[in-house]
Amino acid sequence: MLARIANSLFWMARYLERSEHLARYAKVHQFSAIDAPEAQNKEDLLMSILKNAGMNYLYQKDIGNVNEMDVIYYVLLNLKNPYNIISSVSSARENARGARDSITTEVWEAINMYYHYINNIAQIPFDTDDTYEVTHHIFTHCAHIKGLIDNTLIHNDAWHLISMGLHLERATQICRIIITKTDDIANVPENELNESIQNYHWSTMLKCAESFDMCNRTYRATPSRSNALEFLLLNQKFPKSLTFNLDKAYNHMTKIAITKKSKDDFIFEMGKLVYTFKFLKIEEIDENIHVYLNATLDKMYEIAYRFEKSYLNY
Amino acid sequence: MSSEYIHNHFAEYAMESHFLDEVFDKNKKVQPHYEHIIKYFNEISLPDFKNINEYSKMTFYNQGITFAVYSDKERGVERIFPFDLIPRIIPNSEWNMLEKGVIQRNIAINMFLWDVYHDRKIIQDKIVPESLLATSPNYFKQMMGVNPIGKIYTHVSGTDLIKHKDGKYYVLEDNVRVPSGVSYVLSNRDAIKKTFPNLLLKHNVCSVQEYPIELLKVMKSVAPESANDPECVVLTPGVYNSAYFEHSFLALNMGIPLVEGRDLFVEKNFVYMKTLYGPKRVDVIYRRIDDLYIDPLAFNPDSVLGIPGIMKAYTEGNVTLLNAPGTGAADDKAIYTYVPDMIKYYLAEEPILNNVHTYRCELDADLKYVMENMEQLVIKPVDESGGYGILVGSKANKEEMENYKIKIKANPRKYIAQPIMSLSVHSTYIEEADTFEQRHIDLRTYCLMGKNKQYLLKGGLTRVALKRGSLIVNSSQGGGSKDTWVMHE
Repeated sequence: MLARIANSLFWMARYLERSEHLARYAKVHQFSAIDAPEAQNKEDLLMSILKNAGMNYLYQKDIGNVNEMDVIYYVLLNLKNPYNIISSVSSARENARGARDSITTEVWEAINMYYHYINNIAQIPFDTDDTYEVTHHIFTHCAHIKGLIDNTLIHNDAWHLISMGLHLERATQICRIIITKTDDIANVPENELNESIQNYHWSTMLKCAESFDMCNRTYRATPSRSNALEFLLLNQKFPKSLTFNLDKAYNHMTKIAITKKSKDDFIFEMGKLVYTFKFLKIEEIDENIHVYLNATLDKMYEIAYRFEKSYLNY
Repeated sequence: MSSEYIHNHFAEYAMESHFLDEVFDKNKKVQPHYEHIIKYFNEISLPDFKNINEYSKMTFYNQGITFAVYSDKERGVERIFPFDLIPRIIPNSEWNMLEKGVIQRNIAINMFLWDVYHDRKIIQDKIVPESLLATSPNYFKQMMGVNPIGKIYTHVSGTDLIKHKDGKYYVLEDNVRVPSGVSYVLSNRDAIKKTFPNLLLKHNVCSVQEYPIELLKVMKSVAPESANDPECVVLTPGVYNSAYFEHSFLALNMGIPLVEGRDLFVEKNFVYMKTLYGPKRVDVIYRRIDDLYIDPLAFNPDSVLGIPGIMKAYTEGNVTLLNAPGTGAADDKAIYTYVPDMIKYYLAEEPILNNVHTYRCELDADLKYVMENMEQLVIKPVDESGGYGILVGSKANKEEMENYKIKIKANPRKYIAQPIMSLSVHSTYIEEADTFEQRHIDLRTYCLMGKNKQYLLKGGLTRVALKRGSLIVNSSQGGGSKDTWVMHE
């Protein structure tokens, strides 16, 4: 496979996954604000959307006033925002187009239809009443595309690259979600941090990663700090957990790898990261979770960067 | 089906008597080979037809058979190439003649190219004047003495034909550089299969699906001898090229890589592609990049699309290019006038297909005639394609004609003129009016030549000028297309 195509497939997957997370985080927060406990500041929830997407500074420069309509529109469709969802989906599609001969007609058409859907939505007036419908379509498109990726491609290099991109991006997004949400909770004044507010935030976090049902099922309890964090970070069987995704990304990476495995190899680093998480207890990091996850994010960025440099250069 | 459900969409169909209608005869009686289709369409109500039309447009849209409209202010606007749902039918007897004629013509053109890049006998024998080649921007000295594998220059050619009001086919152009459009032939057939499966089932139509297989066979047949399992690729200028869909379509359907210039490099006169696992040798390149951009070392030094050194690799025989560089010397519109002579000269045969009578502005007598009879002529620059720079005398005003005369006088060699041919017309669904009307059509054929083999795709691209009265069918200028049915015997 051409190195350029490999690059396109890797980034196609990352942008695809990114678009889905962007939409879900925004939707979950807009909806959870509707019936948030009284003590919860609504503006903080909207800020959380911007922070998670890394858009808070941009937003303050471009828009300023924090309100539901402007925030949701900014994240999804506002053309002032170069990182909006249209841009993610367009990039996914451009990459798919560049790698057209390495993916199936089914996958291509599904991505193309996703792009046209988003692009058409962007041409008509948007209202926050539309969030549910628009994001629902986004999730459906993404599920459709990912289903076709798994079921119409040969599970060879191309598929490993796409899968690696998906899992690496998801790992990154999950990490960001946890960082933002632990931040949100830390920002609640201590005298107001009652059980219902806590439960509310942990539930919201889990819903952002489609993990609410499975977490409840696993612990037979409603979400608390310890079970929510443990589930989303460390569960080895749940496809949205950080550990699960790091492990998957590592496996796909080793399938593509041809270089010798040496100690300074990024694959070695990736393996180390995966196994650290596999043998981690939540109590070990809970206290410094912020620092720990930021360091993890940096490691992932570094590994992805080195992977691209040594494999996808053309 | 009871008769009350039967519509007559063609009751008001306006017939212009000075054109040949492919579907109806002069008395507005349906031609026998169109009877089934017209009956079938008359069983569909107009609102239903409109819906089917929208549906078919959507399938093109979703497949990504679109081109971006950069001039539009709206971001990301994409258009499909218009596709008309009424197929064009070519009876078997007519097709057999066309097939023989197109192949005969392309064999002669290919021999001409070998000759002008080797012994130049046709010039010595004064059949074709030397000045024509000397002044042709597409005649490349670099190709002198180069021996393409199997002596094939024009592996893929797209001969354009029209049917005149005398009922005969005429060749309008020989496109032997990088003819495009074949993906539409296959996509159009696919669209008809999706929308009117029963209609297709009832007719015995020749398949077009095998084109990519035939193309790959041609590619392999002309691989360098040093390659035992030849690596074939399609070379595209990239995703922003308007024909990118076609490039990816062909690569995907042949199962070979689609590469860009930046994916390839030349080392020691061999061509390699940069893969995930290091360099891999490339043997045969179906390049969809014009000659002038293919190698910045040999041609345009500013080209960022090309591969430095590829011409040297080619002339050394280490890689095959489809089509060979320098084929443009044969589809110059002034050279066109000599193709019947080439057929007689090289093949000792009578040309099966007619040329349109052509006035060469470089000849004094012809120039005089052109200047005096402009309103009855179509005037074309010899070296352009896509319908650009054409003047249709009957449609031009005085000022346009005067300006054009100045251009011709400045460079007579650059222009030829032909009588305005009345392209045949075909019933076509007109969206804006929600009705069926006559529109002018032509036919692009796709001919493949490999080592000891010729193949003509049984069908082709019927292009239709969607603007009322327009004769220009090019997609860049408001043209659409139709599925083209060649019937089995």
